[in-house]
Amino acid sequence: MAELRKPDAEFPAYDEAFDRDGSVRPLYAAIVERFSNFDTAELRRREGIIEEEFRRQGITFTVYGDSQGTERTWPMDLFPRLIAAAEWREIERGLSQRVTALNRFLADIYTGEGAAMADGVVPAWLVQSSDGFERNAFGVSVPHDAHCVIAGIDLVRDAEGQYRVLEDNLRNPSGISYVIENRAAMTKAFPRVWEDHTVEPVSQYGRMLRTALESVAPTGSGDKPLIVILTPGIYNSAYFEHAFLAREMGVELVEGPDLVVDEHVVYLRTIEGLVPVDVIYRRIDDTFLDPVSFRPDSTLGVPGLLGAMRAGTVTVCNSIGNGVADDKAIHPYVTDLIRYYLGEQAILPNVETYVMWEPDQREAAFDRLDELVIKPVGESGGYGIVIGRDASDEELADARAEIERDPRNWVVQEVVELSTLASLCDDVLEPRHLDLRPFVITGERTQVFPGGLTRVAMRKGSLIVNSSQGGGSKDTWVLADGAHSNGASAQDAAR
Amino acid sequence: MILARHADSLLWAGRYLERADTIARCVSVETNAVMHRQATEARLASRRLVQALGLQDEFVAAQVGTGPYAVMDFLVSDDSHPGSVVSAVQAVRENLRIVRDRIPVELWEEANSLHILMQSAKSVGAAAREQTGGEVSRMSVITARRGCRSLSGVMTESMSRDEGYAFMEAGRLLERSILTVELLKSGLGTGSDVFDGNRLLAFTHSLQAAKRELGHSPGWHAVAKFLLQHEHLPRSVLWCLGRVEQRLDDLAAAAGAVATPRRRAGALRAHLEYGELDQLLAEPEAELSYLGSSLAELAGDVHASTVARSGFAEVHAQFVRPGDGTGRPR
Repeated sequence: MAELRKPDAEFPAYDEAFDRDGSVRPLYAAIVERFSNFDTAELRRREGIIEEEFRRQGITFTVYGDSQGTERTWPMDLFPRLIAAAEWREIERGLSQRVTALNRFLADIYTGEGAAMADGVVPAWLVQSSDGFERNAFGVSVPHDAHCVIAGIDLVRDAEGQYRVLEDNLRNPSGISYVIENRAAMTKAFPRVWEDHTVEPVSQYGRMLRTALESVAPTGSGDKPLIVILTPGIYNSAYFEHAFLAREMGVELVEGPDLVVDEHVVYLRTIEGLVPVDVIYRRIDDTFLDPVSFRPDSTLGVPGLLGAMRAGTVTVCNSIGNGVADDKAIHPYVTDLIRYYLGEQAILPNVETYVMWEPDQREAAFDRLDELVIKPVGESGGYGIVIGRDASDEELADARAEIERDPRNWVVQEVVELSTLASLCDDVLEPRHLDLRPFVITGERTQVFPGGLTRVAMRKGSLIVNSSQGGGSKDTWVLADGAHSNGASAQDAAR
Repeated sequence: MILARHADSLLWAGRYLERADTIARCVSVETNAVMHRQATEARLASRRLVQALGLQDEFVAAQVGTGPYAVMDFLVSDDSHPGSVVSAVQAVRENLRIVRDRIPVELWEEANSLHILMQSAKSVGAAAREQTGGEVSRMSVITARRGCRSLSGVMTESMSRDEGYAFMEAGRLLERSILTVELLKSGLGTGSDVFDGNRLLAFTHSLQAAKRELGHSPGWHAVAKFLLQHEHLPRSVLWCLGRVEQRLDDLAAAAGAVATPRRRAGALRAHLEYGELDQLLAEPEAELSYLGSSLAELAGDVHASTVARSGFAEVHAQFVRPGDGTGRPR
């Protein structure tokens, strides 16, 4: 039988499957039972099925700067992550609340009166100095104020098991296709695990997103608006996802040169001639979107697109300038924004974050930098992060000097001992750290897609879960109400 | 509705699919023949095949060795030039990848799987491949032929008969016609004593059908007539042109730009259908050259129809065979 290692008793992180005293949590009873009946060879065989499945379908991502060829097969660990129904309902409410407030914030900045800044909830200078703040977005309104149609909110679980928001991704969050393909691969490799659980399906994403995109079409688009996905092309790291979403939604996948703007209307170049476009789900960054208004050297974008957005003839999702609301420096204020716009307490707390431009918080942080995590606000993908307890004195001194030089550019967070879950490493199922990126869709209303992308750090002790840095993923099951652990019999379990 | 760029990719996916299939088939026929031939004679025949496939420049540039399996290796596993099976399969995959969202999932998966298999053979290395006595390339040929058949099956059975299908099928049939004419040309001037009609028919996948109608040792004229004018054989140029015309008719409602290729296809079809082929083939070289260049122009017109209306500034160049007129291989 494959060894299923429990976390060490003194290990500070919360383990998803095991209690502090080492007994299996009821939520995981059936799945642990099944997995402990597989031997290592069997697990490796099934892992092979998953890998072959991804390879055959070309489910890949690209690591930039990797000399080893461009495409890598998507890494998925075979031990699934489970979330109980009641727990999920709470997360769902929290995410919905958070994204609603963030959309209100964006509308307030770009098409409203800047009330939150005027009332001192967030300093105006902080908003205006954000890299994501976009003057071009002023006056660009979106139906239902859905500036962020697709949000990916990164959650982590602290030592007490409390879910906390680590980061908001309101620009171009990717990963949803992997959620759906992970489920498909899991179903192929473990056809019988589903007997023990009733799991919320994930196949409805295409319909859900399409409905949301249709609902933000400009008025006068008719009842079947023309929607396209704008991709940078086949060499982009997330091209698989772009093609996947186009297929799932049944819309065209286009590149910049396929679109042309005439008299503030965006058209698609087809063999029949030019066809007007209503909604563009773009997977290109703001700065590449329109060479007339942003980077003039961009060949990925569409000249004149911004003018069309302003004229209200086309809706671009997510809208431009969203980066201001997912700026790591704005993150500490989101709890206040929720209270300000919705009059509610935040359901999901933030990871405790200190802003370096406040002298008190900065000094307090400097006293214990070696216990904290130092993050540059402008980076993503896990780059540039200094983890205090792993850093040398010299590195800490450097970080301190950097912060002093440009406090706006840094935040410091409490270390969260990301929760762990058994993952197959070196022939043993061992606890590894993970996070969760659920996806929140906003159209006429805000909906949370069940589960999300669980990312796992495959290196022991590592807290960096990004796939570009060797992280893996897990199929994530939201269990239907009252449906965990149907109780598989022992002889039935090894299937 | 179809994006101009997608139409272009599907047209080329169809052309490359046919090319991969035909080269693999020719190599397979040739490999069986090599075993029963003298070395010099076998090499000469292989060179004629290289010429028929329009790859003589690439052949010289690649400095192909003199071993008995070197030519086969050049045609199958050498990805340094765009005319090999492995390169054609890669081009099919790249073109389908661009339209991945609009084609059946199975079509993409078949193309991707075939590409992965062909790449693994390529990774063996030319010298090692030669050492195996052509075994690696032989296996690749079997893989490629099987893969092309599956792709073709999925295409026929699962693709919606929309504009995308029309372009992909037109691409396949045009490429097939062009290759058939080139292969016929390669049989010219070999003298009736050397001319091997069966080999030519096997290259074009028509041997079985021809045996029933022409007997066992047909002469060049009979083979030419069969491959050019047969009404019911999907390998004949006349049949292919009829289908291309139908596909262009399908497109005509949507795309006015196909008017030119439609006219040309109709004229060329009529030339073959109503022309006295015996008279035409009195000067076979001239007739085949005329057919070859007309087909190439037709293919160019279809390609242009994917861009004309939408005013693409830049047409991405794909590997064009000699005689196709519009560009040089990348």
